[in-house]
Amino acid sequence: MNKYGSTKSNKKAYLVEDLSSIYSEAYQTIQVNIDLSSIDKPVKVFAITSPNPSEGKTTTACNLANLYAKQGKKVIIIDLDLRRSDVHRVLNVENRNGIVDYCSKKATLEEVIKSHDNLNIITAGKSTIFPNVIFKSKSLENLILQFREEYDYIILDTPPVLLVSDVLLLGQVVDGVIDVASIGNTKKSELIKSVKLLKDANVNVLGVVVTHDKLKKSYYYSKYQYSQKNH
Amino acid sequence: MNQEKDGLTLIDIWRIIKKNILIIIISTVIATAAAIVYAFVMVSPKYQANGSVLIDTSSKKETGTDSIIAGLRYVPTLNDYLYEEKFLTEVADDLTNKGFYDTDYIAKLKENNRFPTLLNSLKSNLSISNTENSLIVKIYFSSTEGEFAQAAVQSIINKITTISADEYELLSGVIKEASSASGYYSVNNGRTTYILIGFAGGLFIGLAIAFIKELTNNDIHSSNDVEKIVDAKVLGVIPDFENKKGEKDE
Repeated sequence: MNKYGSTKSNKKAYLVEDLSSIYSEAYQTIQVNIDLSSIDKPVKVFAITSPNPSEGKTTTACNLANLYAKQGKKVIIIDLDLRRSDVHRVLNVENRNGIVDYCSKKATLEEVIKSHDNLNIITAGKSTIFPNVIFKSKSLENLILQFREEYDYIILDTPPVLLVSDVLLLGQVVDGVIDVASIGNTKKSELIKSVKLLKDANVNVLGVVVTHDKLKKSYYYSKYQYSQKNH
Repeated sequence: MNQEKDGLTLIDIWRIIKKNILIIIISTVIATAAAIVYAFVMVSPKYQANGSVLIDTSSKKETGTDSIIAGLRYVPTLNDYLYEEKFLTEVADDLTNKGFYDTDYIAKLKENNRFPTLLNSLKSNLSISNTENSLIVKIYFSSTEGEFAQAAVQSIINKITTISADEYELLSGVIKEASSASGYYSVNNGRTTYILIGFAGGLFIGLAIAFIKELTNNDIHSSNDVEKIVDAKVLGVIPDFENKKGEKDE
């Protein structure tokens, strides 16, 4: 169950483990394009959103974070999708203490940061009925500022922008936002509206990641392995 | 924000056709089948008969080359006269006398001033041809009834070859029968055309449905769609995940 109500599909998030797979190649391309999107000011903190749920933002966020970690970068991912947190499931860590607990001073930073294969993770933690309070809180803002000094990349998994306005509040704390669109699921009008909402809120849109591209079998030129994570 | 760019690329067109090939095929097959049924069940077979007349001006004291040249001058006049209402009325009366038209029916048409409609029907089924510089004029008549076509040709030949000076002095005595009405034979009644129209119509309808369906489809189909509609770079394209059981991912 999630607090967005019914979703379009009951899809599952996958974590790519084989770095030679075409999926890993695709995420590496995204990494390069993120770096190229802002040459003057390097992108360290970016949020990932999408117009609607189940379009691939958590998968994208977790796989980018995982890939950075495997490349030896210092990276932390924070699950800010407080109504439907999934990062802990994808990365197979406990959700006992998270960002909600930290911002409400129920847990220390050391208690909320978890590790998975060199990747640091802050899960959502305790559920809250006022998620936007977390987004507006000074604790979150200061935490991200602190992490800028300590990490190479800070990745924020955020809620769908057409359903809730949380991500619009992050404009000042992030270097940019990535919008995720799913082929066959995201409507053109929805993508247009989501990008417009972000730009109208003075959020720097780094670009769009397109998911669920149906490739022909002949394109699968290498074997790959992946782990399936359930919602 | 970019407005969606106008126009389809060839790749877009091919993708739309490929995606909706079943609709296109079904539409084409149904329309073609309907056209075949119509062509063979609803459209009556058509028959034709023909005959010919010769222009001979020797009775006008023209001889030799002069006769030929003079005769050629009669050809256009003859062609026009055969379509004249006065002449066709005589042909219709002749066919009525032979039982091909009901006498009462003809009388009623004349009474109601609808006789010209019948004459127009005769006119539309009549065709004349002659080779350049030839004094032979061929007469063709088409009808859904073969015997009627044959009788109409013979009636025309009979009437034109016996035209009196009172009726038309110029042509009187000049037109001779070259060959009497042939037996009737089947001609193309347009079945092939109907079938082709059905095929083309079905194909067009199928394509129209496919393109309307796709162009009103609001879904994103590829990264190209994204680039066309938003002022944002495509950072990457992630393939669809499938696990061993074929389930899709988020």
